[in-house]
Amino acid sequence: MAAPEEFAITTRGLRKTYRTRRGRHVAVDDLSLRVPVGGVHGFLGPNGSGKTTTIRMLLGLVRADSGHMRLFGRTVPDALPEVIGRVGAIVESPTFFPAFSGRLNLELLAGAIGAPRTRVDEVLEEVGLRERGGDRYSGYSLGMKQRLAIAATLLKQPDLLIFDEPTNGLDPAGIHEIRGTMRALADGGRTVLVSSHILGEVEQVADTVSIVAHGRLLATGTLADVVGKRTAAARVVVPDTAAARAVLVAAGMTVEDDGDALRVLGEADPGRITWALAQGGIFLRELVPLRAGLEAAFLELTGEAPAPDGGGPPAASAATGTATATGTTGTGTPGVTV
Amino acid sequence: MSRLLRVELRRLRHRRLVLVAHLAVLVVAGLALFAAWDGLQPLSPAESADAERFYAEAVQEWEENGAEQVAECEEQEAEERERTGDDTLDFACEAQEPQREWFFPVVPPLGQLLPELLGAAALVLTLAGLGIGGTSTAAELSTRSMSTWLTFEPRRLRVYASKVGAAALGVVPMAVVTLALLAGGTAALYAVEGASTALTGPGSGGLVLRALRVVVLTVAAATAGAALGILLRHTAAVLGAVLGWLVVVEAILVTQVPVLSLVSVRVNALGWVEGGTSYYTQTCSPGPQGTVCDGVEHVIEIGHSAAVLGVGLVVLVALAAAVFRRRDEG
Repeated sequence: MAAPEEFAITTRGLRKTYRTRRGRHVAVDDLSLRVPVGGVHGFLGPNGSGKTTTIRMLLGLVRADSGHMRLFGRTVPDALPEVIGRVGAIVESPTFFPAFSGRLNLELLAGAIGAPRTRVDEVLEEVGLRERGGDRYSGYSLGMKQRLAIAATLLKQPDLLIFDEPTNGLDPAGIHEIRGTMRALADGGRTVLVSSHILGEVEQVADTVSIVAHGRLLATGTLADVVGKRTAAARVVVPDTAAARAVLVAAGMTVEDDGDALRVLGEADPGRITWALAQGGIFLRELVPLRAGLEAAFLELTGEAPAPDGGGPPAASAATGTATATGTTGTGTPGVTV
Repeated sequence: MSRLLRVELRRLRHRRLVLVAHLAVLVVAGLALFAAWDGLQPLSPAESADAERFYAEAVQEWEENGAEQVAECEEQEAEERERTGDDTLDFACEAQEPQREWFFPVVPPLGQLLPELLGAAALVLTLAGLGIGGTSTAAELSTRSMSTWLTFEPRRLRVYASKVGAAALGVVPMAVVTLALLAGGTAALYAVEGASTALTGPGSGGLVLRALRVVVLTVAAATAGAALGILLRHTAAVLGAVLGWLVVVEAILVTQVPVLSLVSVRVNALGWVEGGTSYYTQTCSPGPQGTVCDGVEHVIEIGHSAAVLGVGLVVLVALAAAVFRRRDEG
């Protein structure tokens, strides 16, 4: 069991409800989260699953109803003033004064924390906005706004960066750029927490992930833990798909068409497929194991997520880090949105 | 804290709406100066001819009907003396005879004009202060940039104090420059046009103190505006709330129930600037010719006005602080 100081973020029994016209809405429900120091941690969940609310509670923007939170071992929000200097955050869409230039927005923030103005130039340079720093913020493209927000987080030279849906509205080049930035920050020794409902962007960059739905933690651990190391399917190319299908089904496998090929579902061992086909006298042209992706794991886990007012399986059982995707295959295509 | 205050003052200086408010105040001050200059100009030949004609008509009217008007006036005076039992009542019936100077504008003494200008400036500066204070905080909440700010400085009361403090301090130059421009500009116009610059006339005493009270009122308005901005989150909501208050409370309630003048923001702001004010109630009693009502003047001392405005401001600022400290943001 690691000491709390080994985690950049820990939460225990975190709960937040909002009053709505239809009564109370549980945004975060008994959430216990651990984000290890170093690396990129993907904080995943469908829209409305409580990711942003959790981040806002960590940053003191929203008050938790109950539960405990720590940043680098310090209890927040009480100790937030002492630890906030180590945390840079973008919560949802970046919010700056539209009529001010990007540079002025950053200079004001730098002034608040006593950072020298030269630091503003440095971070503008770092995110590639030095030439456009004097332009009005309202004239920035979405990607530039996002980069300015990242620059703002870097003003503090933080140990922990929290990016909440950082690629919302960005084009593929922008997404690629942000992903590269996150990876570079983590490789530089920082901890990056990135919340997203876009699995591809996280899968390609995250070292560890936590999956939440309905405000509850469903799974957490390394990507391999959550996705599962076994293959969940295989693509089979044979001269005679009809005959091959009959052989494989006879061997007890689940088979579906995949264009000119077949897809064998839920089969972890390629050897069994080749053996079955050989027994049937069918020569194999191609066998491609398809590793279960984060998307599959995500869909499975969130599909099982209990409703806030319902029974359902307890979160603890899914939060062991051993959950794997079964019954659904995928390759973790970047940009898949659930 | 001082660092945050400096940053907030810088932010305020760069706000476009703040700049617009400053310009609007300066335009109003310029118009007031123009009006003062215009009042110093001699009449044109056509205006002089008109004035002479009106005077002649009034004299003719007086010669034809003056005696009758005086008699009627004296009769009313006698009735009133009898009704009130006050033999010293004087309706100044003989003074109705038209005088030539009534028809030719007289340049008011500088000492009379300046207090009037300060009073008018107080109204403009108070409204500008409210607007500047309101937009300084509300814009951050409506654009949600407050969330970003709080991720840099999570101590909310410090943030609140710096923002309200910046609004209060930020309007001081505007108030001082406007008042200096009005006073200095008017005195300069009098000097250039050859009018007397002697500070004589009612209200001429304590002009500097009066100007200082206008500055304090502007600061209080900006503070109140900033607190309202925190509470209502939108500049339009702040302006709407102020307008609603003026119409519902000040224009309707206080007029209908004059005793509410004691707690009226408008009346007490006037009392603060003027060094005291008064309001009137009516006392009605049955008389031989039916119910007769007399207006009774109630004096409001400057200390009372200061206390009402001060307590109101403290309550508003404290309420906004409590709300901002606990409210979810973002």
